[in-house]
Amino acid sequence: MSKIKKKILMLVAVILLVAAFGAGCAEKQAPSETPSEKPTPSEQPPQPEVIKIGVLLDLSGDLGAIGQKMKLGAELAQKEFDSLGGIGGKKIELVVEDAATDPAKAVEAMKKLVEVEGVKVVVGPMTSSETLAVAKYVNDRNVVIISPSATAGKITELGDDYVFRTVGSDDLQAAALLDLMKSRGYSKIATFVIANDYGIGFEDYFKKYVPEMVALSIRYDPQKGDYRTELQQVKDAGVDAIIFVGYVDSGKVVFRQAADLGLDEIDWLSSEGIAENVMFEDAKTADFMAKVEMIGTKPSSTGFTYEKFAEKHRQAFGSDPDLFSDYTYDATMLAILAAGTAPSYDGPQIREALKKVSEWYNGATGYKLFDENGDPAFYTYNVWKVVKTDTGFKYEIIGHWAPATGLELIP
Amino acid sequence: MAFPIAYLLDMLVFTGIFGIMALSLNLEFGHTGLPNFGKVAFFMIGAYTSALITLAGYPFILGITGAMAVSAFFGAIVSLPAIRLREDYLAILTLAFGEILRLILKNEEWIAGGVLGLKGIPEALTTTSFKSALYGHLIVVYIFVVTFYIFLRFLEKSPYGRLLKAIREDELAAQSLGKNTVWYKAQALAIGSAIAGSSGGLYAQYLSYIGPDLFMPVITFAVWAMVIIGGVGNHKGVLVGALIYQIFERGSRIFKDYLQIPIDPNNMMFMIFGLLLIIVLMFRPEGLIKEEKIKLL
Repeated sequence: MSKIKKKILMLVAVILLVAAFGAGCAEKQAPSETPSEKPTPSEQPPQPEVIKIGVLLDLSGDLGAIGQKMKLGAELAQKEFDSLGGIGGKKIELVVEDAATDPAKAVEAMKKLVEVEGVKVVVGPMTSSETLAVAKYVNDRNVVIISPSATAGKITELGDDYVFRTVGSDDLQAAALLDLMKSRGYSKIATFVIANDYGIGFEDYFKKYVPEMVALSIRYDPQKGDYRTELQQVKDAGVDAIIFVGYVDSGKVVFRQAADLGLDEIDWLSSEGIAENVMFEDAKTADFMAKVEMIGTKPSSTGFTYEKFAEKHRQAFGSDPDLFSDYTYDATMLAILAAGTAPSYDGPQIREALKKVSEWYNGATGYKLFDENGDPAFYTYNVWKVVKTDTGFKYEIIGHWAPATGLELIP
Repeated sequence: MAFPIAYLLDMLVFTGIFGIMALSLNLEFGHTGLPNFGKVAFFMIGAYTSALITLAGYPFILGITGAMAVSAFFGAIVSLPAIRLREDYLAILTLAFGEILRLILKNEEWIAGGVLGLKGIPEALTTTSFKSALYGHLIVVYIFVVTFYIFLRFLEKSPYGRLLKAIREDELAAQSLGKNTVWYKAQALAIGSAIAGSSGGLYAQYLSYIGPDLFMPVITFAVWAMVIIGGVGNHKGVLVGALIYQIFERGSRIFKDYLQIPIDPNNMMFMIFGLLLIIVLMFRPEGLIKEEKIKLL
């Protein structure tokens, strides 16, 4: 008797859960459902009163800390429009979802944004594998996505579709780094890259274009926490320079251990992954970076538009913008402008509007005209150098690189 | 247009795919007593095999068959070193196997695209609209779920199933009756892995993209949670477990829009699910649906 009772109770509990979930779906849907019920193929769906912009970032997981900061960039863009009374009289609503640094979660969250919230334009996802994972789905569903930070070269190959990004391909930055290397006349280099799409993208580029220069290529696991063996290999290889591509956390460990091993005789080059001030919080890391006069590239964040953005960011949140929050801001601005100027809130029309908007939009990270692959057509990298100042350390901009002009160092 | 039911259908597709994984673990652990902590490895083998086969232009059915065959082969091979030893060794071995395999696929571009994985994997059915594709996926996945469910029920009731349970209960006793238990355990792992491989194949064609980041060890533990909550040893139970897991995962995403909570909803889902796991283990260690008694008459 009691067994049956228990079974029934369990069954009821499960049904309740399902019902609650279903109710959740239905209730949430109610407001946005109304405009979407009417249209027939010939009829165009009317513009809703509120323009929904999806924001899909990694708010937890490995990249959670960066994602939380990037979200501020999106919020800043929304605030700006709302202070002007929205766009075309319509308020902007950001619908934020967490992809948890997991491509499977990114797909699931994207489906929620599109199917449950009825979003047609999404800022995100953050990583390249997440972007590749959602690409087919958004193309099937005619939903525009603008990634602020997916840099893999492979995304370019996705072609003329619904996938856009405000950030340049890693291949472009690798080309910038390569020019920088050539300007210094290295004959033998070692690559030391993080074992993910970001690091391996750089390694592949150098191996493809200057195979004779790459004497040693090492991929490191960011979770390992000890790189003495690998660094010793670099030391033994007798190279002119080491190209380090990685992130802040593992970068600190690598530089500390390199300092211990006396690897300051050779040149160090790096990319935007470590070009953040948090690197200087650790005195030993900072000293090492200044001692080897580390140089590197990063997506351009200079110019008056960036300064204006940084000022607004400081006013709104009391902090300096962090890595990629400027790209998130631009992606959100473009999304809002495209959705606001499109004749209706509809994927294909937003895509066309986005292309038009991108022709004149000049944002925190410069002009954002998209090429036929949805990549930014104009792109500038800054060349930085770590210097010690009276007050501490900083990344000094010593030059620029753009596909059209090549490397220009400030004399 | 927004199509909210699609989110629900998508959840059912995932329930089906992971339900198949849970069924296979139930055969291995629930019935034979083999703690396979490398479920994700066979899921991954299935996904990659089927993706490579279908990307080469062969039909889906060949992809799934290949996925099952290759997974079964690895299931049998991997178990060989450890199957004679106590179960703990098998658990550690399979756990390590999953990670090693993932790292190999991540670092060796020539196998299957390295870190960025494979994209543009053909779907099982060619359809014209998103809606019909979704229903198509639902049908395809549930054909597999039902087939495996019937197969495993049949296996459970057969003398072979009883033999597997005998090994679980007392391996020595089974041996004393003249059964080559090592051989049967390897078979159970091979069958289980084949089934897990097919779910990998379904996953690959559903997402149409796979990469090494999709096959983290957490998937193994999710499948274990489904089996434990649903009911170890009961095939119906583990399918319910798979559904509950998906409801929690999606539900946390929906509920966060209504309830303001101070913690990240993704983390909260893990907390609540962990709590559920503990409660189930404390008050109902056999799971929501108990294992059925063997009826001999």
